[in-house]
Amino acid sequence: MKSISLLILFSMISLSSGCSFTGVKPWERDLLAQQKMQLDTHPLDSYLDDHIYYSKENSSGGQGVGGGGCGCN
Amino acid sequence: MQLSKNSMSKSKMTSQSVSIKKPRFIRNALSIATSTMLASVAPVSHAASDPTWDVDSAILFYSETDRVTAVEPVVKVRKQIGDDEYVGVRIVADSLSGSSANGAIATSSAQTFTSPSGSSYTAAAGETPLDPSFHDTRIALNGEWETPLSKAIKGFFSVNASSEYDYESYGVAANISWDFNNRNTTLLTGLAYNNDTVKPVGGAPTGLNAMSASKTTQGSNLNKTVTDILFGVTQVISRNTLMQFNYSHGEDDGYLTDPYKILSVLDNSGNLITGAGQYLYEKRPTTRSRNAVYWKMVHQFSEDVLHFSYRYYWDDWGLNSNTIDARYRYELGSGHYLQPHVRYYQQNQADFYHYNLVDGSTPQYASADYRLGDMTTTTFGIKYGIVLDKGQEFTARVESMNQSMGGSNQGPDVDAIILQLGYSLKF
Amino acid sequence: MRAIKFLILFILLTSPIQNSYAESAASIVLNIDNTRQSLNDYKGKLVYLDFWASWCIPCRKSFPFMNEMQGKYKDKGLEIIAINLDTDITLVRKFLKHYPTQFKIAYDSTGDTAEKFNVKAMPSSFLIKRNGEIVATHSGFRKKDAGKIEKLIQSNL
Repeated sequence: MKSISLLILFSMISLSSGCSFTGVKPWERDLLAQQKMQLDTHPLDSYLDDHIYYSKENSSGGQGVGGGGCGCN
Repeated sequence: MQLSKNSMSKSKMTSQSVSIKKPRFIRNALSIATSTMLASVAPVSHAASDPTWDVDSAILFYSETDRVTAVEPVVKVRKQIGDDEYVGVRIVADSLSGSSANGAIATSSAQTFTSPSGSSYTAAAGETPLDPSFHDTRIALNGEWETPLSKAIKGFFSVNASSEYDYESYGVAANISWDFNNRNTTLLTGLAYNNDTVKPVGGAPTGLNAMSASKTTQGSNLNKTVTDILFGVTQVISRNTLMQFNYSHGEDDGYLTDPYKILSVLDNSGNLITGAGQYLYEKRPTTRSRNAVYWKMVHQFSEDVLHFSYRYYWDDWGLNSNTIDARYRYELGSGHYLQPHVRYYQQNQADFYHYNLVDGSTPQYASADYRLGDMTTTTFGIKYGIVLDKGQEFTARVESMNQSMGGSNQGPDVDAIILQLGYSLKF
Repeated sequence: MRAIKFLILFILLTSPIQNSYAESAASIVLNIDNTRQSLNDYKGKLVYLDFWASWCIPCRKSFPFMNEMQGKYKDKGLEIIAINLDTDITLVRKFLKHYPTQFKIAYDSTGDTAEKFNVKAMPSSFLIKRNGEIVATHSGFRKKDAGKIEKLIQSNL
């Protein structure tokens, strides 16, 4: 089951990237190593924004789990 | 003697790699043609030791036109305690004040309400009722621990606790990531559990009962649990492109209603009915099953970087939403950068959302909270940052957020300005 | 999938391969000191090849260790050659200003040598005996690895 869903995930990613993803060699990670290329470059910004939108809208989830609740509705 | 040990390369998202365990012989001819340089043979000197402390701080100012304002300072400290092991603590204080819509609608004559704390307030004719006594101070603490679990598997564990005068939340979370394919692919699984206590001022009113000073309540300490699970995959696409795809699912259980929100009851002519029962306390289901799929792309153009994401959310309250978020980091040189930001959010109302109730209807659940209705939030922002030595960075960002209502919600827009200043340091 | 990979590797390794230093090591060309050298030139020495780049943080941690090893065992025949994989030379110059070295630096900006050694992580090191045989490989670098690597060097000197 997991392999099927993984297969679907990979297919979706490759379709969206428009090409097959072979990745890069270990020594070709110079750009990826930069702080500005991380998935979450400024965790505090993300945390503060998530808190605002959690209070002002009614959707949650997607990016990560864990964090805690608030009576901000 | 065999030596094959694996350790992390410092690209943040991934951890360890596979090493070749068997000795082997060099084969095949190869020529290398590159530029050359002098080999430096210098006396041993101590290179500056790598920073182990990472301090990040920010203060946020949030202000809605005529409504809520908030000030939120936050500090996070992270320390490297082992080869690939880190611990961190984050503390946030969150102070809100101002007016908040109570769910009743504007009518052609003035309306008077009593706030949960006992004071009364009035909405003029044609004015959307706002409870001005909205105030809250919240403190939240978060602790985290990141550690390798095996050569390609990393664990990230956290605990959180927060407290405000009418709400408490405690939770734990565990995230496991697994790198493979030369660290080009990372699989992530996360699980979080939160246990909250809602302590409404004056007790939690019985849902869909008439608003009154002598309301019947469900008690003063109500429980709510929130469980989330996430599955994700991150893939290196090329030297300058990275993508992530996540699916998350959550279950809420317990008291999910807003104890302070009401609905107006109108007659068939569209006028507020007279007598008791013209305002009813809202009532939401006691369970909620949520899902989200999220896709993110990070791409570097020469020096500039684009972060783009899309999320689709849906739940069993009938609510669904689309979120698009884009940030473009434009390098100005010498460590300065500008980063414009656009966020577009569009939400389709929950099944039990009503702008107002009509006399005689008896829904099982109902809420007039605009945050459950058809809504579009549009945010435009710009951030300025300067990166200095010693891992120092100063940032300032300002954002303008506009929420416009749609569908059956005829309520007014909500506009807000966000300002954030930040400073971080590594040593 | 993994089993198939190992099977292929096993077949390749056990098939007749030239294991003479002259045949194989001569083919690895290194750009050091503005000259084209061959790994064969280091025959008779215990060679510690390290693949690194300026943007790689564990690589920085390994430099003081490699300096220490080169200083300690140079007279006993240890030759450390750090093969740089940066594509931008100016970054390397900047890096070497902050981390001066007692060992040789070679350049492989196209990654061809790294490819031949099947480098899987940054940094990666290969210990090559005096006769040209690779005795050990190591991926990444952590402080706790230092002791083990030193022992390995000592036992092969």
